[in-house]
Amino acid sequence: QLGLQDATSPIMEELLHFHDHTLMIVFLISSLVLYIISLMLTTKLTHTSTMDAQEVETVWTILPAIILILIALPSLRILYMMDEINNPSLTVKTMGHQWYWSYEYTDYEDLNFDSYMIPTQELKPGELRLLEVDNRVILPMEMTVRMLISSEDVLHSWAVPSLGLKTDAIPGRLNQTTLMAMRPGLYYGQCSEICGSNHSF
Amino acid sequence: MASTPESGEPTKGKPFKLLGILDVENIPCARDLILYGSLGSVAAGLGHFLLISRNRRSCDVGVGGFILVTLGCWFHCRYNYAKLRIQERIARDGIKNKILKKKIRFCTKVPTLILKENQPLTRAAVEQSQASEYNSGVRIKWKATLLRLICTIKLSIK
Repeated sequence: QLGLQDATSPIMEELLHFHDHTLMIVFLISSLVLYIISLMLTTKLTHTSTMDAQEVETVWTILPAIILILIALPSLRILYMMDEINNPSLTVKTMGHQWYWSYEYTDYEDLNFDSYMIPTQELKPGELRLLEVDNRVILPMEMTVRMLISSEDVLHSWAVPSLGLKTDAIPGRLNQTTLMAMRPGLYYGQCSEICGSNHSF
Repeated sequence: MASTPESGEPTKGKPFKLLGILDVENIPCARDLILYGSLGSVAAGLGHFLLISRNRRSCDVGVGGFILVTLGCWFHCRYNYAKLRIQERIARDGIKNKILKKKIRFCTKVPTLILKENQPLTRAAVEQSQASEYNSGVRIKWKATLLRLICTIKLSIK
């Protein structure tokens, strides 16, 4: 698959749109640069001594500043949107280990389980290699869920691309992220911080 | 992620990337944008050439026209698309709330009346009792959902 996965959470939708917006700007700049290169290669005009060029220097100072502002404004909007305060209905703690994740649901009942990746030799037909696990994390949809992420040994990172989530699991530190899945489905993620020989395996 | 779409679901088109960057098939507004930009570029370049009869300058004007028309159409189209998405979200939430209210009312529509001790049987008391049934119905529903979730997880753990 090329590109980003389909969005499941509102934040990921915003990120997708921002990605499209930035790609459009990149495309236009690339077209302009390609055109200027083709002009340079085909021109008969040559000048070997430096000249005064106030106008073009003004343009190529102000124009990039405007472009950067056009990119920065939506970016900051999404950044602050990610940090909005909401009242999660459920809290799930996840601890990174070498090389599995453990989850705890302690809001209503004491529930803990480990989630190991299914080795390639034990996969059933149709299952995805390096992505399937034995015990999946089941979360409610259309409800804000708080994830508390930490680690028992080395650095790990809990990532689910479809939800637009990636949070480092640091030993001795508790990181928090919130998620809201807008539609039911199965969403995969892999550890996103190198953590030893079986990282993402 | 890499799941086959079910029948009836809109499928993602095969990506066609201009300059290897812009996926024209799958990005909303991109296709119309490139078409309008090309049209604007041809119109500006050709018009300039017809007026001035200079090749290079007309090409420059054409490229400039492409960039300006593309940018303008992009912002216009994305603004309308964002408005549409917001309207769609409001409509979806409204439909969901309406269905939820009807369900709660149906579930809590039992021929009982919860009145406080020594409360007289008046119209206001009946309405207050129904309102508190609705609110407690909503709270009970969410807690039940979460408890059901915990049971599902317990059953699925190997």
